[in-house]
Amino acid sequence: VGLVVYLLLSRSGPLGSWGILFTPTAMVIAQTILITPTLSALSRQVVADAWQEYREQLRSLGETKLGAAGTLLWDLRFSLVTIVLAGFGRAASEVGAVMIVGGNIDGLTRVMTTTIALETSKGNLPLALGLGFVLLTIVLAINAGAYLVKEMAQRRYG
Amino acid sequence: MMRAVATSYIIRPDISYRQTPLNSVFEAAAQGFGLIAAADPQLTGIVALSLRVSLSAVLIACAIGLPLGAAIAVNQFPGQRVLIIISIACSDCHRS
Repeated sequence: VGLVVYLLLSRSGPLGSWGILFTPTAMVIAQTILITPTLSALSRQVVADAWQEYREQLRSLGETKLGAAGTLLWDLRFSLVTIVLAGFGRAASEVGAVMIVGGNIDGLTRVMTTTIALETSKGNLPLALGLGFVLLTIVLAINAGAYLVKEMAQRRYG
Repeated sequence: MMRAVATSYIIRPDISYRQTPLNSVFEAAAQGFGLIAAADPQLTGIVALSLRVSLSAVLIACAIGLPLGAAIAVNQFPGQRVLIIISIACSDCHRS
């Protein structure tokens, strides 16, 4: 993915005139391309299971397929939270593509994972370990927070 | 004089991390926690950028991926299975 985005955005590539290679925007694009298939594959599975169950009922209510898809997405929002978190975890812990399109430029496109990789190679273990710990904590905290919100909301709305 | 000018052009290797020799991984870990506790500006900047990039990517991917997944789920069309298999495979082969 990283290489493809790099080739697209590089100066001589098709989107080179945008001039966004080695910017945070390029990294957002790479990560988006990276996790969209994950989100669509997982959400398709969840929605397909619910569709099996509620197809007749939704049809009897005269829902179009588009409306049914929207209704199912909204009804399954608590299950989808888990999927979105899986996507976030994958995006936040990604190294390769972000390093290729971002360039790991200090203060501009240097993120946690690329810094950990670089500082470990340099032998600057304090920064690498500190960042590693922050990364783990953030992913853990976001997951825990979302899980609690999901529990609370489920108890409230059923 | 010449010598002073000349030496200023020599690129010195960055040996700042050697000034505090690390005797063990634990010492490094302790210093790492020190950086977190002191809210080291370099560290917080990196963390903030990480969160900004990843959260924007997740938002955009949600806007595209979730409706796409739902649309594939409720419709039946030729090539559906191929598309499903491709999307599952793509979510796995994300190395560079």
